[in-house]
Amino acid sequence: MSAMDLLHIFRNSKDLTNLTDAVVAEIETGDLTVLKLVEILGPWLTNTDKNQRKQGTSLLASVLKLIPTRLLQEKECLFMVTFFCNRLQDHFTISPYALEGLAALTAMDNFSDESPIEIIKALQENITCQALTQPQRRDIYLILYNLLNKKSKKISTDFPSDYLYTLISGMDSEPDPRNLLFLFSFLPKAFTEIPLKHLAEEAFAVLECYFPVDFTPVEEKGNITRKDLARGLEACLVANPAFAEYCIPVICDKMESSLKVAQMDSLSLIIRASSSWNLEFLNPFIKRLWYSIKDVLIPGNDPEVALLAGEALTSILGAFSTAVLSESLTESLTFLLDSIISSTHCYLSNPSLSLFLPTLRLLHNIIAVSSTTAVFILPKILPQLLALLEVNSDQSDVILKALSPILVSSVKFDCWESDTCQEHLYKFIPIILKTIEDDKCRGSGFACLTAVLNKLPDDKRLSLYKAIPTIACSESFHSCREEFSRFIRKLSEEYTLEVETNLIYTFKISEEFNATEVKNYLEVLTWTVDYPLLTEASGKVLLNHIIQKELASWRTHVIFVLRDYLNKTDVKVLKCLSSVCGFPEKLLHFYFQNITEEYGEVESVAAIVMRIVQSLDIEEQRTLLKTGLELFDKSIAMNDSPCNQLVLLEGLACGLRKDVEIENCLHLSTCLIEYSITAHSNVSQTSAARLLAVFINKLSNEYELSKILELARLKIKANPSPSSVRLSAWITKSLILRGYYPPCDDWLVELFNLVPDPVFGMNAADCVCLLLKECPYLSEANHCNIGLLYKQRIFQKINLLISQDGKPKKSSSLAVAHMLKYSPTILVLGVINELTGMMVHCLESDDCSITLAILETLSSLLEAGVEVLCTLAESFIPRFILLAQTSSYMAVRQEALNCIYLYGKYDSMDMLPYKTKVLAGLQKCLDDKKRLVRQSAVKARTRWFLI
Amino acid sequence: MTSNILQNVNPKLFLKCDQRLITDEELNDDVRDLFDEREVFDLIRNINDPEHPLTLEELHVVDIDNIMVDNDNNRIEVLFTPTIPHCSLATLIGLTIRVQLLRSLPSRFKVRVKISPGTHNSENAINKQLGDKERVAAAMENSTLLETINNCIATVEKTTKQF
Repeated sequence: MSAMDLLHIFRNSKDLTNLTDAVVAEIETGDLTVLKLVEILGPWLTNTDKNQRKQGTSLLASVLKLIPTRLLQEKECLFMVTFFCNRLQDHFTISPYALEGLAALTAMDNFSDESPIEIIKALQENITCQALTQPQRRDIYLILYNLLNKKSKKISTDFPSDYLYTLISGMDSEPDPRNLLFLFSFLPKAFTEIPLKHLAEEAFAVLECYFPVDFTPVEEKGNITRKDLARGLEACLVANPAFAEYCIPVICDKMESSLKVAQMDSLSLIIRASSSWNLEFLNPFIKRLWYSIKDVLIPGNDPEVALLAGEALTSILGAFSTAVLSESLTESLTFLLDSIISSTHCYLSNPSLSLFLPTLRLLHNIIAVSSTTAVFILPKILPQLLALLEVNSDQSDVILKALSPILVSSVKFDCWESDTCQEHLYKFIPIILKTIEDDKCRGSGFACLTAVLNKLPDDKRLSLYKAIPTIACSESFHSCREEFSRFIRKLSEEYTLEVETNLIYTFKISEEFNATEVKNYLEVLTWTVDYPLLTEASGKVLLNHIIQKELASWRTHVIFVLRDYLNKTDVKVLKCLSSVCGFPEKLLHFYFQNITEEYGEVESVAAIVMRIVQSLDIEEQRTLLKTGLELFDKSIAMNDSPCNQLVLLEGLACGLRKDVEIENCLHLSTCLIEYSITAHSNVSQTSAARLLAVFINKLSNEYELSKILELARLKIKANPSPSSVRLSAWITKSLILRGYYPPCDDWLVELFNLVPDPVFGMNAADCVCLLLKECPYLSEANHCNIGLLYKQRIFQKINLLISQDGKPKKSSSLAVAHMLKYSPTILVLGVINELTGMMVHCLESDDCSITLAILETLSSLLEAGVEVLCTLAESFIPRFILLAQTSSYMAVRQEALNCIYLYGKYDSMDMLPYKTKVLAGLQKCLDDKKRLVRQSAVKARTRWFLI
Repeated sequence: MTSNILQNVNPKLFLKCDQRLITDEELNDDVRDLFDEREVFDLIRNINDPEHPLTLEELHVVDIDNIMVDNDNNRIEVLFTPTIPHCSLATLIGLTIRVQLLRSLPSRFKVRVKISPGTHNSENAINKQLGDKERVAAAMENSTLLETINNCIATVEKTTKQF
């Protein structure tokens, strides 16, 4: 487009700004330059009518904002800057567009070095920032921000004071949070990179007026929070150490305020300042700071403020720990530490006083700062603590609890080698050793002992091994378990051979031990298994206690303890137990040969085997499977009816990887189908069905899979029974998890169609739980296929359960109740409005399991604060009250009261209409015959009184 | 209600008792559980002290040995012990205990809340105030007072284990 054409278009346009996009496009294609545009706009820019000038300037500024920053050459920039600076002198309606233009120009890539001073001077001479609107002020800050980012070196050398003065005078009294947040984002850089010189006080003064920030977020102003502004301001206030002399007196003044926010912001500022400023700047004010902090530290009115005050104090001391200490700094540090000791000393006189523990916690934080603070504080407090331990034997636990972290720091900072601390610290050892003989403070005693383990003399440490069985058999074992296990673990780590000789090889269960004592003692042994050098030794001891005849009396206990331990340990240990100790193989060998009728024990053995098998690699699994199947076949051949063998087989085969082929899988699956329906015990039937489900889930051979499914379907049809319903449910779950469509939908529909059945309906309804509940057998740990959103697929069929005509049957209600209870909340929410009637009907059911399942579903939804339940309160609350008052089942009454309690946590305004009714209704429950129900009623009523 | 200056800066702390163990009888729906001292104690032990972030149990203001329950005559008496004899918050603490018991116990019980004999300078006056139904009812009409009491009671729920 030619210049004449453009001029013609401009002349015909009522509003030039409408043409911005077209002009930008012309410039971007290179058909037009900015200088040419200025030339074309000449008649507007030089017009005597201010509105015409405004239109021209506005178009020019808008175009500059939109064109790429690389387009303008340096000379063009220079020219445009001069033009817009001149425009700042123009009418007040035109200067905002000039600012906009300057903001755009300062962002240009080729912005000239000569322009900043020109802009600064023009701003100083022509603009009063406070008289402008928020967007215009923002443009000024944007100009200053761009100048700082692009030309900070030039500004620092040539005209730092001019820049800073413009910035300070411009932002003075800025009231808008958006602008303030923008300013706070670059002020730290400005105050750091541009020398403040004589303007330091002024720079601080414009910020000081905002401290502490008092602000309520406003939606129209960007929802900026008080915290955003406070953190931004904090960064500015600590940006330059020159602020220290003004800032610290302000902090101290604000600390005297009764406003919590003032105290919190001041303390937070101290923490930030002590890590940002050189200690020399803080040093002149150390005393003043201490007196301010001391007032809120101990005893503080507010625990949150006291905690932050402690942090502030440790951060100041932290600054001392990293600085080179001059004489005056050493003096300040000594003053600070002396003052801390003298102010806290009085609170350490009695462990039962409320400030004893907070004081020791504070002192520990100070000790933990550096070796200097530790060496200073420890000799002052240790004698006192020692005396307290000797005098207040009944308070030893409290003292030792506070002492253990202090001892950890003392070891960390090598205070045990320091002349001033050594003497006191070693005096604690005999006392700590004595405390572990006392049931009341054994836990805290072990915590201290773990801290000073390396400082124990060899003979004292060796003597502890003899005490281990006694401690394991003591009543206090459960209360000190955590600390004791940490001690044994640290001992195993640091004195491995010693533990092997004195704990593992001498492990012997006395005939006098009772069941609990045996379990505890065995648990102690399992703590050592985690250490690679000890796994073999302790694993073999455990295995011997299972398979050796002379130790057989403890077998069941070992199995239970081992199962608990293996559930918590990691894969490396599991693999090691298999490869080094031969755990799964030996266990299977023993139990297949000596099959017991005791289900609990066999089930635990199966769980142990399954856990170990999961961790093995393919080759190891193949070898184990081959041996296991041979053992299984032999055992089956020796017994007429398979009983617990199936449970063991389940343990062996569930955790196999998909690539491990099972020989004659079809035959084995056929047997499992048979066992799952005809086996003598319920347990064996369930094990067989579950194992078949795991096989089906992992089977890659489609032919075999369809064959097995066909066989199962025929068997189920031929033998209608509760066990065939259960088998059907397990197969359905397996197929759904695998994502085997469409057969899985057919199986699911068949199962759901069975729910209204008068004979097996309740069995089918119970199986809904089985379908939806997480299952440790069909799991990822067992390398099964777990399809995404499988619960959604089951939930989709809920209509099959509720679309029956007339009054729903009990089995359908139970199935729906289970479906709602075990489905994800999001799914339940989708249908909750349609199901309200059904849920209310279920709540009125005389079957406890239905009512309870619905109540549990509702309570989990209420606990999640689901909003839709607020609108349904009118339907549910009266039913809950009725159930709480009249149900003959204690669990139902309790759960109904829990639901009422959870409703009490909803928005008070929504719940207020029900308050009177609920309080009156719950009055009756306060006199329930069962104490646990009364407790729930009190909890609910107390909550509703707060509405 | 409370001033910024603490009356008892460093009160003595006592150990909290363990959660009540649930017995087989309590889980049996057919057995009636009578009210006992421990049940009443559990209702008030976790009330917060108006001055400290500590419970009345930790400060030994309430103690199971100072609770008397008479199921036959429907009477409950609770004695509480202020941490210092001149504690000006004793009336507020007593009122809070009384309100919590009124809200949590069946109306058949006649509840009396008193100061343990000899533990407060104005024992008689406070006992008289706490025993006067009209004055307790009037205090409950005072919204500021009610808010303070509710703040002290609000912690009960946080520390009460839900069975």
